[in-house]
Amino acid sequence: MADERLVPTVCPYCALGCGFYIKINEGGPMIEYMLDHPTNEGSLCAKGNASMEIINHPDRLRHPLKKTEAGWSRISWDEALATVAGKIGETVRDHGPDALGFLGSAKSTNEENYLFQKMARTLGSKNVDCCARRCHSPTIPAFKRALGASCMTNPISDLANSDCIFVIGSNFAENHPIVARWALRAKDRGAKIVVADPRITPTTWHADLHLQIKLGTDVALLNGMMNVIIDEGLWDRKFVADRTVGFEALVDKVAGYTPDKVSGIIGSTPEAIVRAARIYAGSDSSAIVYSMGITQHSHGTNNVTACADLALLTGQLGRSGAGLYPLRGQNNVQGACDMGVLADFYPGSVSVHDPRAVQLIEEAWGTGPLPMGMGMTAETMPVAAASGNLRFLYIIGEDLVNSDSSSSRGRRELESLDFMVVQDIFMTDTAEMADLVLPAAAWAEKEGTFTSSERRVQWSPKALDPPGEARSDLSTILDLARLLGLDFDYAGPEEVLAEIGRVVPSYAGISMARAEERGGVIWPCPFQDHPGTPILHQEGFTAPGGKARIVPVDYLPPAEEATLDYPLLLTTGREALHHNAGSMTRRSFSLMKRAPELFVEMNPLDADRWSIIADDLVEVETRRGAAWARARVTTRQEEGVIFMPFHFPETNMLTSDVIDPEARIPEFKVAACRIGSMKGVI
Amino acid sequence: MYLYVDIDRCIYCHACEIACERVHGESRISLEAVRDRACVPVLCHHCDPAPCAAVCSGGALTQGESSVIFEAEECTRCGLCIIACPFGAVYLGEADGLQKCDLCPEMEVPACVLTCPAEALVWGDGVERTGVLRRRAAGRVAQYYAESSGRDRISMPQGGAGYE
Amino acid sequence: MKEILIRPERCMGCRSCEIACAVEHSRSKSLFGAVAEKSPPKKRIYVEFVPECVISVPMVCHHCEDASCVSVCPTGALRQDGIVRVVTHDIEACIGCWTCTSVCSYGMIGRNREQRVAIKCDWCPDRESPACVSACPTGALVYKEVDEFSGSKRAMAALKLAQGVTSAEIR
Repeated sequence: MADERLVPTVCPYCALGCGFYIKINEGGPMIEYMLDHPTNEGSLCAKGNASMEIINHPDRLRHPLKKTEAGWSRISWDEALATVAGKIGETVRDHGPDALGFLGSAKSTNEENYLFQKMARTLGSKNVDCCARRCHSPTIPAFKRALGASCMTNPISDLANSDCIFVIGSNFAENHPIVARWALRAKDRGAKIVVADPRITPTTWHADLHLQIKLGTDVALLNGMMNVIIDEGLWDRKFVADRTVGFEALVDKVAGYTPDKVSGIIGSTPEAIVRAARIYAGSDSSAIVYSMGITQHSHGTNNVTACADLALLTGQLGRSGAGLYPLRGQNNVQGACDMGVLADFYPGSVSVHDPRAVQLIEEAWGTGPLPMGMGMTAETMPVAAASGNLRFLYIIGEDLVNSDSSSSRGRRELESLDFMVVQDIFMTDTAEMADLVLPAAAWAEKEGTFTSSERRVQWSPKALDPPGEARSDLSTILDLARLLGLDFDYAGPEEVLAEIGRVVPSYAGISMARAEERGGVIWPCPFQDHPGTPILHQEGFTAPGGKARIVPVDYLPPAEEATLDYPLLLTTGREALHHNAGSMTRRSFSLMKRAPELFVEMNPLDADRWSIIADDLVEVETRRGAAWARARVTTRQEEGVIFMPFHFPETNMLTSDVIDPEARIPEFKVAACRIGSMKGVI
Repeated sequence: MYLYVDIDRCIYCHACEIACERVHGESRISLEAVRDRACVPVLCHHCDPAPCAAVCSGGALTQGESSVIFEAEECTRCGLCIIACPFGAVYLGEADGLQKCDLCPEMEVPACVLTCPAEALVWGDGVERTGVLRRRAAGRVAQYYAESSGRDRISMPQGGAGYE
Repeated sequence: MKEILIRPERCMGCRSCEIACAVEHSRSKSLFGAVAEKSPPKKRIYVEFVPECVISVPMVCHHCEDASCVSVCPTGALRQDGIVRVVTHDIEACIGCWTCTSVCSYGMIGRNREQRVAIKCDWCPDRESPACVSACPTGALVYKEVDEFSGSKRAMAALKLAQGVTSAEIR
């Protein structure tokens, strides 16, 4: 064997941070399982196994491209960067820095994200955001208020030590399969798995109790459970007294949520609610696992708050086996949030409304006054583009038009931008709309750290060379910053990581050498020899006063209800073989072979009513648009609810654009719709 | 060594299929969902005496020590093995002729077993495997008795090693 | 119809049942003969010690009604008697595919390496009461009809209750 080597890497798909090796030899890169990785023990899901298909894909962008009237024309990097720098300069001169928008990527490294937002904010723009807006933005304010830290509390492998795993709004068996590994180990030990989900999924197959609740009624269920827990005296008196504030208000609030009343809202029996409450509160250590079924609602922040309340009420925090597990979607979405690629936070979760904390960052960066106040979010940028407030948009690695809700509107709005530059590995639908496209290196073609959902910071070394002239986001940002006259003098990601350590306290002890160790470091790691903190909130909370805040919330129905015109409810989610907007997985041959097209799942009763048989092409129409999908007739849904995965562009043309007032996440999970033969009848 | 399926654990995530396809060019394991309530990974059981090897006239399928070995050069594509296999685990692939699990001879443990997130595919000797199932069942009974007599369970070490 | 039922609270983990089972299924049907046999006889009952609970559980084949091992067997080697429920195994028909092993959630189907076939409990057809039950010194294994078994449990519970009432009266 001439030259064979194994390079460790971090999976580029979901946020669990699974490790594997890339074996490089003459036959091209191959996957080799990393049996000693603490999160996945070598196992990989379907997408992870297919990840190498992305690396050598013929569709990869290889050269900077400029849109001309004759189509895309290849230009040099110098010209491309000069154009971008020129446009930024013009926009700042003519419209001020707030006409600039920057969308970072939850697939880029921490170092790249850090520099990207530093560049944007040093230029004076506060419009920095990333796709976290569309997945876990409610988790951030809700956890920050309740617990003081907006992230998963325990490592995923710790689920194996739970006695009860309460899953709400997550189908981890299909979407985060590695979580199932640990959940099933807990079940082997006799743990109970309780799942609240409107659909029957492979996750519910493994549940001891499945509450098939109606769409968007999570707060009612959680309040109902808390009502039972308080009523039956199952709450943790010592924990509530010593470590929380706000208990009395919660008692008042949930008093009205009796199991009988809640049962009428959520559609499960009162007995099931009582049983769920008893299992959760009665187990020695109970974990709550949730995902986008909780967050993607017009009251997503309330949903997350109610989850946190339940954990606080029963003292199921700060111990092995207990905790809150928001399962995140992108490989570095936690890192992008930590790095401040959010309209409401500077690096280290420093609020943009906190002048003193921002001043510290000004000092660390050695810049003049930085912009304060909430910037435009990923959702409001297109709107601002249409109204002329946003003129220039720089997007890294994000298929905005396909992942935005009500996406045909977003598409129209983005057309009014003066200039849009997209940096990506593929020509996504968003890149097609850009004026300039910059080719980027994929994850294994660059080096840097990624932060997984469990706060594990891992160094991913460069294994391969990028195709053509593609470059890492880091080098592109550095070159651009130099053209813009910013003082960005870094030799490489290692130096950037060192600066991150100076600005973000929880990364202070993380060096390249430590992140390179197997399994990296779990932040907070406040000084050099600190071992990392796998379990948060063991001693106290970082919220003011060291106490967690129980914030009672009320149940609010979803923004859209079934009506005569739109008699069905559409909910969206994922399937096992695709990832998010699908720009990577829809190019993966082995995955596409098994999941080739958009489908819509409906109950046989609904199918009968609209005279649809399996495999029919069905038109699904909402107030915002219509799309065609292949019918799957299955009892996974209850009558009146249909399901579509959001990996195909059509789905998000249908979704609702009502947003959560605090987290500004759209309600992807509920939209009134009608299907097939309905059209024309009414 | 044998490859066993713990159907109770399968989560329908397709990881085994993609891993097998990655290694062999075409997947030799397939997931069959049953009425959207369960899923079964179907693959060669390496029976002994194997019906496929018994009917193979060309000597392409032979009974090995603990597996059924397929040699493509000897195969005449008569298709008798496909008819004989009670599991539908031997089939003609799209491009590469007859497809049948070979337990990844070049690897220590087959790829599908290594990749399975839910540990539904298990590599071991048969005795060990039934032991796992039995201990799990015994654990359920024991736990009931331990709880009903007020004895505390001892919690598992970090990482949750299970009864295995 | 009688079957083997367990009382785990009585099991001391002495494994007498395992030895009796192996001997009964040997050719000579005697302990010394069995040890001397060319292929050592195999047990079909297993005493599992569960360290977390510090309890031993004798695991027996339950000859389930509508047994899953029978329904998955591709060759009909496993067959269930419609009346007495006993699941029997035909060595000649077994192709060693181990599907039965995969589906039995009690892990009660073992393997005979020499003969390359599955082995499982057959309720000792040559005996009045299965060997394991006869060998059990503490009565952790019983060979009874379910009605009779639950009846005796009821009687025990009634006795405890009655004792409680009488002691309360005395007070």
